[in-house]
Amino acid sequence: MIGTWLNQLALCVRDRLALRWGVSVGVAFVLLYLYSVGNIVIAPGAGLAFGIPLPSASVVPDWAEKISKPIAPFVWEPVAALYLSRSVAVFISVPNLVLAVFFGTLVALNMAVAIARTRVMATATRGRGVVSGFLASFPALLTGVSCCVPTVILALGSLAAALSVAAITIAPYFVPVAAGALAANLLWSLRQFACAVPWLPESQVESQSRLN
Amino acid sequence: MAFSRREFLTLLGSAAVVASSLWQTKAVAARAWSLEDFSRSVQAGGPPKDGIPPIDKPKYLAATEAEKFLKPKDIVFGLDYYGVIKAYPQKILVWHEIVNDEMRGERISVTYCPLTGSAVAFRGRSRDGTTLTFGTSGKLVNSNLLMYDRQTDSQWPQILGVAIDGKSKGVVLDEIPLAWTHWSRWRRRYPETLVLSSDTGYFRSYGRDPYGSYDEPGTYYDSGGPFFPVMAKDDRLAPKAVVVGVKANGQRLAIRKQALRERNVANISLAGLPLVAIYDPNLDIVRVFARVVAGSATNFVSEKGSILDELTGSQWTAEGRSIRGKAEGTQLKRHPSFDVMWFAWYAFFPQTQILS
Repeated sequence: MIGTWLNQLALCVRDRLALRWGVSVGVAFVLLYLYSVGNIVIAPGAGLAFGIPLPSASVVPDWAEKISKPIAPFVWEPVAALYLSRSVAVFISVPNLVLAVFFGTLVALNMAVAIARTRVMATATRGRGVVSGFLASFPALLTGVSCCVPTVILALGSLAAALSVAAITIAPYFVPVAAGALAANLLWSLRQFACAVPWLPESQVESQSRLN
Repeated sequence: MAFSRREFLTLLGSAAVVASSLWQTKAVAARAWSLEDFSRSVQAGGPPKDGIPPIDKPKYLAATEAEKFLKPKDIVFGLDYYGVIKAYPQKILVWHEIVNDEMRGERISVTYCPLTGSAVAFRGRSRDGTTLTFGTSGKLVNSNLLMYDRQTDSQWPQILGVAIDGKSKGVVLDEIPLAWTHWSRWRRRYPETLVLSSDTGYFRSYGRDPYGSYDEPGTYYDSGGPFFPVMAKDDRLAPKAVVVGVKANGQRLAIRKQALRERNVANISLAGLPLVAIYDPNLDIVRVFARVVAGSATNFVSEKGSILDELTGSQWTAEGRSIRGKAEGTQLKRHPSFDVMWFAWYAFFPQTQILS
């Protein structure tokens, strides 16, 4: 069964346009994810780097001790930092990065399969995989809230204060739910649609799509 | 207008429910909480133990260096501990909440809870003299930081300053007053001050406050209510109104900070202790002292900008030092107090008195 799915996947990502879109969206997701957990910081006027030359990089001396230290469910302590300007910094946490790449890959595959599917399926079902893939990835972006739930509640406004306790209770499930949903969506897409179509050169595919 | 029996019973029932809930609110508000009550009210705040990491190896900068990092209106928590002058920027503490420091051979922990707007320093010493250092439990009581000590693993709500469980249950920490003020004011008063460095051993967005801003109205710090459930509520003051909390022998008092700004001096008797609260316009803070001069309790008055005691007629500074008159050179004994949001103070101490 797994072998069949992998073969399907390999066929799907042979569509270069779908692969290109998948990789682009996957990379965008990685960046968005790292921003949501506070590892990419863009804070105009904040003055993030004090007393250090810019740009610069630094590592905490006790990085071995901190590298696996959780600071929230599925969020770990950064052990290195790149200060690109006074308002832009990238904090590096190895487990956060691994998780971001893991999610980025799942999102990229979902997107690639969905686009490959859209290019050959009937109009009525076009775009379905893209939407469900996006919905499946969304919980992962909420991971950042488990670090500072009130921050998100603040963003939603005081009326949302009542959600604080509920948000904290469900926060630990965001990552497993997102991973499960993305994997399930990918498998569902592969089962629904066989990519075993001889791919046409892009220009012909586009004209074919227009015909559809 | 006639009511059917059913309507009448429904109305009667509703009235009984309303009356009972009003009675319960009053009854709840009247009694002080036990340590077990607090223990039962502990709730998760999101992060795990030390997920908000305390600073255990604080580094300090001279004021001239810190000037490059701090803006004049940045909030700092100023500490004057037997001549050791230090400032702890709120923009750093909002990410760490606790600094475990050492001064004059004592363990001192400087703590700040952004959710309840309270900054308190504690002498880290337990009942048997063991030194204590603190971490963040990741939990809250009444929306307030719940610390734990690394030596006995007991849990201590910051506003309460008492261990609510574990080996240290019932131990009361000594509070050391902090000055919640602006950097420019603190710097002017204490040019020799040291300032906590942002080189904390952690990477955080120190220029960004996840809860809002003390400069801009309409953020968490001055608007709306608490984000987490509290044990008691009261609407005599706005939830985020800043009060100066004073504890004395089991009694509690909340002084509305704005009221002190207007009248400068307030004479208080709390649990039989004669106290005086004096507003310091230079730092925009309120200090509380024992109003005892030459061994006798006396009242203080504010006249044409001067603070005088009624017993000797001596003149006093807002720092509690006599600068003219018979008592010249005398220093009033400081009584601990700290700024805190009203909702949190009331939730911990529903029997509190208010001076407004």
